[in-house]
Amino acid sequence: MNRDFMRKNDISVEDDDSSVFMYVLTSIYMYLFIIILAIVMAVNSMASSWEKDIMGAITVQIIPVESDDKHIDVDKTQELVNDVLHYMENVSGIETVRVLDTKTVEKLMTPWLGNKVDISLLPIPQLLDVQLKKDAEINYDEITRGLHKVSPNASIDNHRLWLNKLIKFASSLRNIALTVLFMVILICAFSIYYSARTSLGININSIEILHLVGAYDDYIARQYARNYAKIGFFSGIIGLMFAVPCILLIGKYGLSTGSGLLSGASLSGTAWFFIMMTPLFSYGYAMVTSYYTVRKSLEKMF
Amino acid sequence: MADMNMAKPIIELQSVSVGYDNRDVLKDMRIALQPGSFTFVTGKSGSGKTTLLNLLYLNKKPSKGVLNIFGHNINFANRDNLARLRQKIGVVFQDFRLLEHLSVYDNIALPLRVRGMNEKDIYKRVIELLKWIELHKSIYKTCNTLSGGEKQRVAIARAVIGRPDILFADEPTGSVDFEMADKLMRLFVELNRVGTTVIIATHNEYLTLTYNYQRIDLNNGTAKLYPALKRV
Repeated sequence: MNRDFMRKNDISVEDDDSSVFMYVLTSIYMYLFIIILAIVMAVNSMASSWEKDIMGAITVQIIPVESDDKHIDVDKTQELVNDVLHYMENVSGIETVRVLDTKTVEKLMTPWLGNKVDISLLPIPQLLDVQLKKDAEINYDEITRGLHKVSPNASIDNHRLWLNKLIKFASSLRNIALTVLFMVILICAFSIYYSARTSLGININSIEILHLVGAYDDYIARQYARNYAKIGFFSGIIGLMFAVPCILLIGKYGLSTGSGLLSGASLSGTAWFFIMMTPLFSYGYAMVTSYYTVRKSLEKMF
Repeated sequence: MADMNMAKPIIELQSVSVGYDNRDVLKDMRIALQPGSFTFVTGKSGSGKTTLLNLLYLNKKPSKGVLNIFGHNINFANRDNLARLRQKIGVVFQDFRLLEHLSVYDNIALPLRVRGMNEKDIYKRVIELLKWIELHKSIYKTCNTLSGGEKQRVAIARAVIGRPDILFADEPTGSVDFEMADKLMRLFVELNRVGTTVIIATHNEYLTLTYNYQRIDLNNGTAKLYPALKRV
């Protein structure tokens, strides 16, 4: 093996207490960083999926027709559904229209009503899932008016209103998470700064010797940067080892709620790639932060 | 030895004073040392020998006056320039100042590494020198396991490995036996013969009498230069 790789640092930065402290602290920071990063990416993906829903679909709901004895008139309701279906199929910009079957509606209602309710007994509206053509310009007011002409029982739910609120909420959540992420990065930089400064104080004699044999500040700073890069990388690995199971667990619980809203909060392959790359990020971040800390501190110290 | 009358001084102190806590340890010093000269710095304890050496090996800047080394005014040298100048200087400290956690090899290799020399060339040079100072069997020992004499030899090896233009030594023979002291002095003389300017601070009168070179005598912070005695 290369002797240069094997040799010890000229300054005993690896052995001083600040290094051990930094391994523990940076691992915790990296754990938090990865979890928050995953949250940011998941919320982002969730908001994008909602946005896609807004752009690509509308729902038409038809309130069942009641007979004179206040029971649901199945035949008339079905007739109405067919009329609405026919109307919607002829609206420009519509890709497909389909009637949601009872099982799908049941599934949608389960989170609110539970499994034990027979929804065929309830006056549940008939739902039409309308998929829009890509980039289609839809006049929702015109559709609303047209539907009203077909039947006052039919109305449009374009998801936009309530999804817009949800998207705003998701956006705020993402901004908060990004702020926390930024703060974790900042605190990590402060920790590296103070740890490097402490280590410089501990090793002041070695640094003076290095200066006296002609070492540039860059040479000394690189020794620190090499050590902190190592701390950053291994802390990143440790943080990842603890964070990945947590992310998977959160994902598992999120999906088990069966909520269609949360299903968009999955992590893509790219998101996982970024998560897996965090040890390299922490490697570079710790290296650069410690390098400039030492350079600046040396200028003030000697 | 170079022609001392013709050459520009390698070290020049122009009315230099150095002080600690508003007290001048060195006062109004005017010294010019020629390239290739060999100089002893003598004086009683507390006379300012170590302070003078500190100043000359660029560990301290003058409080007053001008210090020129290699033709550069140190008062105006920036950090990188100081480092570059220090690479042309070798220093043997009285207290050795080795990096105790490193091996003998790594300590000696240090001045070459800071210059960015490749490890293969460093290895060749260090091994050669280690044999000369008879420490080749202790190559991988860490310095905190060495005796005082061994540490001193490592300190000297570290100072000379870079073939410096100026070599400063503060009591370099203080911790070694007579035989090794003689051997080390011969090394300094040999370095001086090939052009290195050597400045040795010592209490050891035997050295100053045996090796007939010019002498700066310090007394109460002032310096007086005595030329080498003419042999009868």
